[in-house]
Amino acid sequence: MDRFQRLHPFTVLAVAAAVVTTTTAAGRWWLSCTVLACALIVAWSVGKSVKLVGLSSAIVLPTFASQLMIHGLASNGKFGLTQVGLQTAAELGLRTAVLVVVGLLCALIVDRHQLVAAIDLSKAPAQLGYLVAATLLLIPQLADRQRAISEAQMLRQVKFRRGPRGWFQKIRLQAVPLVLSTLEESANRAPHLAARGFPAAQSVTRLREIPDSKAQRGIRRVSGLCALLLPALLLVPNWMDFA
Amino acid sequence: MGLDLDLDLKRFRYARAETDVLQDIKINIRPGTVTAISGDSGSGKSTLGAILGGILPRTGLDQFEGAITVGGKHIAFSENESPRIDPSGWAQHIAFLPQDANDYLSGIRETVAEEMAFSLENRGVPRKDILTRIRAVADMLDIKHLLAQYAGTLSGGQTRIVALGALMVDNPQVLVLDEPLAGLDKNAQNMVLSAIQQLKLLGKAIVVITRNYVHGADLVDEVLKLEDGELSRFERKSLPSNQESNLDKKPAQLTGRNCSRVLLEFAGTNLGYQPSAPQIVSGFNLKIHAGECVALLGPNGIGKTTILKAAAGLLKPTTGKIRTSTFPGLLLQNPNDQLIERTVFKEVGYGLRPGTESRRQVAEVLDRLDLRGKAEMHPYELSISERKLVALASVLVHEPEILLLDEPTEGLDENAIGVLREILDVCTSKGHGVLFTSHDDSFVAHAANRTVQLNAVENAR
Amino acid sequence: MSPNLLLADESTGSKLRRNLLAVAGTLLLMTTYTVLVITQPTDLTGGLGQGVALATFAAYLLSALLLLAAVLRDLPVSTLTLIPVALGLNILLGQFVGSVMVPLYLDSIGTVLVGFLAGRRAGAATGVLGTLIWSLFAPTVLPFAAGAALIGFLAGTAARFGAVRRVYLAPIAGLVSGVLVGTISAPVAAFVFGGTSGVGTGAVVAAFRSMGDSLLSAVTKQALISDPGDKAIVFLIAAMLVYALPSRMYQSYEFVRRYRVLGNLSGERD
Repeated sequence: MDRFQRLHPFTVLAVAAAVVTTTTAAGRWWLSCTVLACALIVAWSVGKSVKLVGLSSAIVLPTFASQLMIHGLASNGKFGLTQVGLQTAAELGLRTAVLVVVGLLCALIVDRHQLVAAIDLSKAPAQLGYLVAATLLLIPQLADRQRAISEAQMLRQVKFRRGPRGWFQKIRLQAVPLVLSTLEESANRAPHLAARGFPAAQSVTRLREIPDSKAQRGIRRVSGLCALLLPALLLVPNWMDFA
Repeated sequence: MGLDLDLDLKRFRYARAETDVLQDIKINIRPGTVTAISGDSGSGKSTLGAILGGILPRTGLDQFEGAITVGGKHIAFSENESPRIDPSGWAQHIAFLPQDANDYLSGIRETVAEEMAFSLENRGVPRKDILTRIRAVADMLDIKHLLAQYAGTLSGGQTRIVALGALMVDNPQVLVLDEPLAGLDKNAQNMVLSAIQQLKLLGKAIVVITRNYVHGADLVDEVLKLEDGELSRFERKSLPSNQESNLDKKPAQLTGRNCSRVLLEFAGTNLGYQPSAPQIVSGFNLKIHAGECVALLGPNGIGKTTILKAAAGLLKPTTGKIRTSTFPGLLLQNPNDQLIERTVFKEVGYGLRPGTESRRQVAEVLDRLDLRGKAEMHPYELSISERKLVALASVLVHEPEILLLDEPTEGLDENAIGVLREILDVCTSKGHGVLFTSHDDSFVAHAANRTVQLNAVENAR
Repeated sequence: MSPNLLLADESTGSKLRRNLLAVAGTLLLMTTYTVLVITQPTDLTGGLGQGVALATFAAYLLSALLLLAAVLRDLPVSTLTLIPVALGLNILLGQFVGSVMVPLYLDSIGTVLVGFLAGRRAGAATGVLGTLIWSLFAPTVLPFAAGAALIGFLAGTAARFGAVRRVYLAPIAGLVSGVLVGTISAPVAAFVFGGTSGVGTGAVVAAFRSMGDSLLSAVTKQALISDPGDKAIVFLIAAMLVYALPSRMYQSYEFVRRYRVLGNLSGERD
C-alpha cells in the first residue's frame, strides 16, 4: 500500500493539471526538466519508475523524432539543420514530455477503482463512472477472450491464403467471434443493469470509501485555480507585446 | 410481507417472429412456496421467466397480450396498450436471475461486497445501511468469506451464489431463478439449494426454471411442465421420484479391447503455461484405447480443460509425453468462440474443400445431430444448446479418430444430450476414442465406460 | 417501501439544455479551428506559442466534453453496455489488424461500429470516451477527443443515410469522413505538439515543410494522405462486422430499425 492511496484521485489529477499547464505556459527548459525529475522521483518512491520511463518513452520518442524532422530538418522551403530549428524541436519535445510523463504518472499512482468511485460520487452523470470502469475492466477480459478465440480457430486447422484475402480471412476469424460474442453479452447484460437501478436517476452512494480531507479539498481548489490563472498571468504580458 | 404474483398470459411473440412462443398460460405464485417451471429448451420457459422478471416484453418490439397482477396491482398488456415496466422498480419486488449469472453481475466492481452493493448504491441507499444489508445476506448465504475477495476470480458456483446475494440485497419478495443449478458441481448445487430453502422459510416466493427438476425436488411445492413452445400446454404433475438413484454405470462395451490399439496416451505429463510457473497438471498418466469412452472428473480448476487442450496440441507438455494416433477433434466449452459464418451449413463446412462431396458430408453430420432444419439459420439465432451442437458438428465433420469434449453437456437440453449420447455410441462402436470432462453425473454414468478422477492432492499447485 | 412498477411518461424538459450543450461544443470547435486557420500563429515556442498550445488543447478538449455531456444522459442502457465493448474492440482489433498490416492506425473500428448500430450521438460519445480512457495510457491523445467524436458522429450519419446498405458505400463514406476528421484534427498536431505522433508521418510533414508549406498546411496535407485511407478501411471492416450479425441482434437497436441502416437486408431475413 503506498501513500498515494491516501489521496483522493481528483487531488492527484488537479495538481497534475496545474503543473502541466503552468510548466507549458512558462516554457522554461529548467522548469520542465525539474518537473520531469520530480515526476521520476515520485514514481521511484512507489517503485514504478522503470514502468514510467518505459511507457513514456514509447510515446515521447516517436513524437520527438517527428518534431526533430519537422523543425530541425525542414523549415519554410529549406532543407537542412538549423540552430533555431533544433531549439524549437527541443522545446516542443520537452513540452510533450511534461504532459506525457506527468499524465502517465497519474495513471500509475491513481487506483482505477478509486478513480471510478470518485467519478461516481462527483457531479458527473452516473453513466460516466460505469463507462470508465467497464472499459478499464473489459480490456483485459477481451484480451483473454481473444486468446480463447484464436485457440478455437487453431483447432479448425484452417489454411490461410496469401495476400490480402488471407489477411482478410485472418481478421474475420478473429474479429467476428469476438464481436458477435461481446455484442450478445452486452445486449444480455443491459436489462439486468437496468434492473439493478442503472443509470441512477438521483445521486448515488458508494460502499467504497475515498480518502478525503479538508486540506485535500483546499489543495484541489487551489490547483484548479492555478491551472487556469498561472498560465494567464504568465502569458498575458506576451500577448500585450504582441498586440 | 409477501407478495402474490399472478400471470394471465394470452400470448407472447418475440419481435419479428412468425409464431407465438407462449400461449394461454396462467400462473399463481404465493409467498413461501417454490414453484418449478420445467420444459425443454425452446419450450419458452426462459421467456416465461423473463416476463415474470419484468425483462420482457421489450417495449415497441415484442407482442404481449395478457395481464400481470403484482400484489393486487393489475397491469394489463394488449395490442394497443403496452405499459412500460420500470426495470429498477420491478426488480425491487420481483427479481430475475438469468441462467448466466455473469450477465446479472455488473462486472465492474473490485470486491464481491462492492458488486453486491451495486443496486443499493444506484438507489442512493446510505453506506451504513448498505453494509448492514450485505452482511445480513452474506450471513444467510454463508458467503462472508467471499465479501472481500476480488470479484473477477470467482468460480462458476461462487458467481451464481454472489449473483443471488446481489439480487437479495434488494429484498425482493419474488425471486425468479433461471436454471440455478446448471453447470455447477455438487458442492455449489448444495449451496444454491440451501439458499432457496432459507428464502422459502423467510416467506419469499421462488420460481425455479429448469429443464429437469430432479435436484432438490423435495423443496419444490409445485411443478409446472411447459411443453412444446407453440402449444404451451400447461399441466400439473405430481412430483416425479428422484431419477438419479436408478442410474447404473454403462457396462464397458468393449471389455476385450483393453489391450487394443492405443489412440491417445499421456505418460508422466506435466502441463503448465510456463515451465517456471507452478504446473497445472503434473505426472498425469492416461491411455485411451480404440472404442473407449473415458470421462475425466474432478473439481473446478483442477486442470481438466488443460489436459484436453494438450491432447489437441494447443499446449506442449513441459515434461513427459503425449502420443496421439491422429489429429484429435476438440469441442471447447464455449461454442461462441468459433462461430463466424452467417449460416449453420457454412459454419460446419468451413475449411472443407468446396464441392459436392463436402456438402454431402456436412448434410450428413447435420442430420446426425438433428440440425437439418436449422441449416440456413444464423448460428447466433439458435439456442446455446443448438450452438453447441453446431460446434460439435464442425468437429465431427472432420471425422476425428479421437474425440475430446470439454463439458459437452453444459448448456445442452434433454434432446441434445440424447443426440450427444448417440454420437458417442457411434464413435466408440466405430473404434474411435472419446475423452470428455463433465460435472453431469448422470451423463457420465450413461456415456462413459471408464472414469478418471483428478484430485487436488495429486495435482496440488 | 413501494417502488414503482411502471415508468412515468418520458419527459422532454431537459432536451433544450442538451441541445444547447451540443451547439456550444460544436461552435467552440469550429471557432477555434477557424481562428487557428486564419491567424496561423508561426511562433511555436515563444510566449505566444505556449498560449496557442494551451488554448487549442483546452478548446478541443472542452468541446469534446460538452458534446459528451450533451449526449450521455440520453443513451439507453443497451447502448451504454455496447460502448465499453466498442472501446475494447478499438484497442484490440486495432492492435491485431495493425500487427498484420502496418502503416495505418485502424484504432476506431469499435467507434464506427457503435455509430452504425446506435447512431451518431452514441458514436460521438464513444469517440470522446475512448479518447478520455486511452489518455490514461497515452496522455497526448487527449486533445484529439473532438476528432474521435467526429468519427463516431459521421459514422452514425453515414449509416442513417444508407452508407451501410451497400458494401461499396461504406469505404466511400469512410473516405469522406477521413477528410473531415483529418482536417479538423490537424491544428492539434501542429499547434499543441508541433509535430505528429510517429516517425513516418513526421517525415511526410517534413517533406511538405521543405517544399515551403506552413506548418498547419503541411500537417493538414499529411493528414489528408493518411486519414481517408485509414477511415475507408475502418468503415469497410465495421460494415463487414455488422453484416456478420444475425438479424435478431442488429434489429434490437432502435437506430437500425428506424433508419433501415441495413436496407433490404433488415427486412428480407425473417
